[in-house]
Amino acid sequence: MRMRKLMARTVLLHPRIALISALIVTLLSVYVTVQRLSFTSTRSALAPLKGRLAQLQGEYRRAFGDLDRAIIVIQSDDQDRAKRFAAALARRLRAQVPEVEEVIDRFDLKALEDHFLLYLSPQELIDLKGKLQEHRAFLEELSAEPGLNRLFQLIQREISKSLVGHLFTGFLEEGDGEEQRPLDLALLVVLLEQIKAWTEGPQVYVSPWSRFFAGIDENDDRDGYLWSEDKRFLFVLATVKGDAESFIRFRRPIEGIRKEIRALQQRYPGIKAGVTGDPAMEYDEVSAAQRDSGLATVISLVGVALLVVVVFRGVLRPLMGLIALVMGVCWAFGFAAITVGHLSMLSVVLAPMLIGIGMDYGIHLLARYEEERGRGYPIREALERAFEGAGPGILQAALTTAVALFTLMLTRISALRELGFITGSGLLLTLVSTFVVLPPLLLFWDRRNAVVAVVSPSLSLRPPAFLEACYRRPRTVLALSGLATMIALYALSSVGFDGNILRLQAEGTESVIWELKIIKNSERSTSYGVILARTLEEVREKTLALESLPTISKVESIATVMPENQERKLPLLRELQPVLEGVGLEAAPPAAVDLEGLRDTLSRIKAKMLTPEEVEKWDRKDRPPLEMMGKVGRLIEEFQTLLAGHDPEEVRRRLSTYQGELFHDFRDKVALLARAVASGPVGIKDLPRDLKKQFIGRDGSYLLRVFPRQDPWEVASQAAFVADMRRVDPDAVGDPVEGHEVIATMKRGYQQVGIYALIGVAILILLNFRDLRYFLLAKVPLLVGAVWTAGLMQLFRVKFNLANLIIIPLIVAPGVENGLLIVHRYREEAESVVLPRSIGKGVTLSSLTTMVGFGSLMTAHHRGAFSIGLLVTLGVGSVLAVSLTLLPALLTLAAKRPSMMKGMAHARSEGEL
Amino acid sequence: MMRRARLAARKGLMAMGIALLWAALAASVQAGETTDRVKGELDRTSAVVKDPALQGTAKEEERKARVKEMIFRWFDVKEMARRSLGGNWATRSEQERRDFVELFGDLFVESYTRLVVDHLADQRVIYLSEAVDGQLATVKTKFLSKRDDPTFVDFALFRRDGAWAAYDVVIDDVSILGNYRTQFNKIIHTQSYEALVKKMRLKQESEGLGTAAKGSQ
Repeated sequence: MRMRKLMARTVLLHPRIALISALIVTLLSVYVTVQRLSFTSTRSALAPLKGRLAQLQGEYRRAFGDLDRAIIVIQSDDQDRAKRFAAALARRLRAQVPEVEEVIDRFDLKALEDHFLLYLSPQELIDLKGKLQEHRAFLEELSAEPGLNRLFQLIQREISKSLVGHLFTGFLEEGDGEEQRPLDLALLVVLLEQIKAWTEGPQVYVSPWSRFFAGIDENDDRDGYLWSEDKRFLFVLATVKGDAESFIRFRRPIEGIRKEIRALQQRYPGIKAGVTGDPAMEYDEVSAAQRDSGLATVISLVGVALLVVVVFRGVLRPLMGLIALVMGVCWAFGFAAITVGHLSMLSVVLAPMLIGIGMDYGIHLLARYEEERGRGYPIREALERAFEGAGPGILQAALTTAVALFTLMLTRISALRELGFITGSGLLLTLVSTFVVLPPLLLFWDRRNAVVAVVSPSLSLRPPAFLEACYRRPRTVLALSGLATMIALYALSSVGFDGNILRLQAEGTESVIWELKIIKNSERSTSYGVILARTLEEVREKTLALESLPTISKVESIATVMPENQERKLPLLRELQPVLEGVGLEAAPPAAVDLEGLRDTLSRIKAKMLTPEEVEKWDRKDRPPLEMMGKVGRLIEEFQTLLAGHDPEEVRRRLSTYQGELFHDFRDKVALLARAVASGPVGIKDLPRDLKKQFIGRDGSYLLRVFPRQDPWEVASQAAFVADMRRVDPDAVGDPVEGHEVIATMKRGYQQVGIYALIGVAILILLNFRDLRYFLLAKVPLLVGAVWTAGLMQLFRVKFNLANLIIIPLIVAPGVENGLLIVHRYREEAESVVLPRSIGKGVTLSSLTTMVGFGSLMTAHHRGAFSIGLLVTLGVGSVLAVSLTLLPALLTLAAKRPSMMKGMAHARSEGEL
Repeated sequence: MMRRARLAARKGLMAMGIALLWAALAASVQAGETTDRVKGELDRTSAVVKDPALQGTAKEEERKARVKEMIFRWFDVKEMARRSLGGNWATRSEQERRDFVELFGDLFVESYTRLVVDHLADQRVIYLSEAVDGQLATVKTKFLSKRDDPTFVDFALFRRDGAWAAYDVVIDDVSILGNYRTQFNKIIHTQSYEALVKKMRLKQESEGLGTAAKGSQ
């Protein structure tokens, strides 16, 4: 009665004012939403935690900055091409994409060049010494008489020496544990290839000396490029600036980077490249969600509208309900924009949810209004009676659902607290809009058109015909439902949880594809653990401890960049000094190229290349490299053929140019070797600034980046990785640690939400009915529907994930509503009617609208959103099925008075109707 | 008196000229001898290697044995052994020297035989030049493969009992003797003379060798 009076004195007394006020609030809400509402990614939404972990994360960010860093991954079989691509891309990004603040394609390790020998292992240094001693005469003579002819003569002599040595005194090197150095033709092969190429035309000079000077390798880690261990992937780091005002923060930088990659790929066919990392993943997720939510909203609105039109067999009244609903949705978004300020992947369900659930209130009110009008009441009185009859139930249902959603605010995850606040408040706002907007619209329209829907009272009390057969056999229905419930309970234990956030993203998302490639094919990932240390010694100790653990693939720190074991290596370096004495660095010009002499020397070399038959007869352990010898022979023949076919003067000129480059390079290499041999130890002060910045914080702390061996996004491997890291340092932080905590907290949170929601709802229902029997009956759709949902999850192979756990509070809405409305009406009719048509229609329609509302999410590419749509559809469908079958069966059996249906059936059989 | 002095001077000049001519003639005869010596040895060895009656796996051992015999006869392994030890020879006892000569001879001849048998069959030899300096001589040759790829081989000889014996072969500027000397020195310096002998003996046993050096002893 109070609701009736309230509505009569406000909305129904001043309908125009009510409508105008509602319209103004709607317009303001839309404005505020456009201006203020933003979107945040799942990762960002789930990130903020409280307690020690948040404190540690804060310390880490303060020391090392909170950079938004995209990772560009370049994949190519040709390392040189990959490096050129990276350098070109870096230049283009700096020039063309202003939102890219910093690009690191390589670290400038020039300052460490003179210390390169310290990066070799002690054994490599010993081997280098042996090699230099062995070829000392070669180096001295070449330095004294630089020239292409002399070089090949000396090589020829080295080959002779090797062959003679192997034939006559090779046995002296066997069995002593001394490594027998096989004949190394690599340098010769490269030189032959190069003189052949240069004979054919001018070339870009490429140094062949790395084959000779071990450690001076331009392709290894000390060139400063960021390679994966197997050199399949080259990484470029791009610090990007997000636009806090924009809905999609990283749209400009990420789209800019991708555009430059595509443009450059046309000049480098065969090179694959893509962007991943936090900003790219956020951009991909948010832009997909934006596309999805827009489409889903439209589909849910249209779908719900069609459904309502079909069921009510009219367009206008349902349209009024939709108008009220849309206004309520706008209010909800405006409220979210003013309070929380952003939506996340979790709260993107706001629109479909409000449409699906909020529509119910209008449907129930409309259905009851039509019923009252069908009884012959005038418009205003029918509205008042509709409020009186359906209002409490609707209000109760809305409050109960809102309470269930508000329980999310009791969790520790801010994203869930926001979700609970936004959705709970939003639902209440749609209730308000329904009560404030729909009645005035009906008042104005029906007054003008004086439409009266005549509904037979008795017909309106009959249950839908297709369910009558069920209601005549309540015990059968009970038994079958019991069986289904048992099966579902059994399946409940097998329902799994998938905590992998990457699997929530749309299939084919570029950033996810590249992240998975990195994880699968290299020892890195964009998600890694972070440990801080106070001293270099601590860094080394922790690195050693971490690398011994099975779940850890790689540890990067300042220690990675500094040579190990310097105390042991420095004496080995000093031993190289006397070996290099006599290797002159004078800039004597190379002698003129003598083509005839070159031809003769190469013929002599070719004579020494053993044939397969000769190799067969080789009886020493170290068989000559037959394949290389064959290659040498072929290259010499090809060169000699080329010589015959080219102008000798032109060839001499080209080879002279090549010779000049070759020996300039040789002197540089020897000079570098001499400096390296005389260099001192490497200290932190010697490291390049941008490298130090990576690993030494503003507060002087040292950073260890810890990479997992397995996929850090999978719950099980993530947990094992975090446990291992914490064994070494309990204060480990980083994405996997955060993710692990968030998942654990969310699961606990949802469990708590489930319990609180059940308790809260139970209290509300109990307070409402003040009768245990009605209370228990009203809970049936929710409890049994939830169990049947779990069974269907197993059937459809659906797992819980971080997105669709939202079903826990969401399923409360239809479960409670259906139970409340049906039991309310049951009590109102003094238990004489089990499921009148209007209630049945209302319950069915409201469930279907919820299913359509959420089901629209199944058009989403975002798999998290899709799973929400699927699961809620299954859940609401299950609750509806229980509401239409099991609950009526229970009500029939529990009724104190025989059902009026039985009376009517008897009357029919007696011919009274 | 003046006439007598002029006559004496004329006689002296003539004698000198004859002596020079004689020396030149003698040298040319010797020079021709060294090339002939080398050629003879190479031809004989080649004949054995290419002998149709000695082809095939079944005849391999016999072929090698005959080549070895020739090599033992031609090379002065004692001289080679002495030179290969360099300064270490003087510090060795007589018995050690004898043992070393035997060891060295076996191993050198075995390796050189393998070189000849496995490669000589396919090569033809061109004799380039020769130089005689007292008791020492060098004969320069060029071996050509089937593809006419050259390998320059110099034979170092010395006069022993009126005949020229080889004591070194330089293959494309790499002396076999020099190689031995370097390697032996390395072992003696880093380990010991005894260790060197031990390695040589192990090799000798593994090759199934062991008779004393032939020919030149």
